[in-house]
Amino acid sequence: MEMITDLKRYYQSTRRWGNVLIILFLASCSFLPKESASLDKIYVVETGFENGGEFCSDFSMPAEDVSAFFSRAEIIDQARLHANFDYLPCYVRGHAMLGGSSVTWEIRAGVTGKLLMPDGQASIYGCSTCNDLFGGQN
Amino acid sequence: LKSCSADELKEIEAILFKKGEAYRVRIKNLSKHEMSKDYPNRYPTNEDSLGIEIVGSLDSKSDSYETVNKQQNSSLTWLISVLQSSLSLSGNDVYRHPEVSYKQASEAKTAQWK
Repeated sequence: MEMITDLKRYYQSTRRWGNVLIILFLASCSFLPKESASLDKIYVVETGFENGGEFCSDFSMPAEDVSAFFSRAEIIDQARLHANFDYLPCYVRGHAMLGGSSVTWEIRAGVTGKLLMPDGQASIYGCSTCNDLFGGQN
Repeated sequence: LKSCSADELKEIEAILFKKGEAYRVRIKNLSKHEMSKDYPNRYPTNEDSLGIEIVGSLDSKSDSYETVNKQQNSSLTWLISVLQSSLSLSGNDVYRHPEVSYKQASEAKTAQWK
């Protein structure tokens, strides 16, 4: 009952913005951080976009920019990915070598990326200084 | 889904397709643009919404969240019904997160509250 009273108070305090709405989130468990990656023998295999991605359908990335992204980006956990980055519906995918192992990678237009290791482990990357690799300026 | 006029659509497309700006900047600009409107003429923002978190892990390999279980959906149904009656909200005021922002499509996909 106290929680409802608090919510009513919150609602009254935010009324000037209109209705209080409800959005459903999924909070996920943490992911152990590692360092940024230095990739070799980078091949771009696929570019594409999903539903609603017309605005970024021209997203593509040459191999040297893929390398720059993973060297500038940092590993982020799932909570940070969710809170600080957008998951845009346009992507570039390929494969590369990392420390002698063959890895597959994906970079999304929202300055996020993923490396998939041969053992199935995935690392998520985010880059706050990479706008220049995504058609913009830093 | 919300709708907009042809003129509004032109403004939105000008923001989203603007060359020389990173995609993430374009969608931030779109968000700012939309915030000038009053709800319900736009989707909700962080400033006028409550978030309900449902615990579930993300499979980074497949980019998909685990299925919301029966007990979670039961609690969610109760919570939303209480919020709706206390705050005078309708079913149209409840959104899954990916409907209002660029998030993984599987987030809250299996949440059920009706």
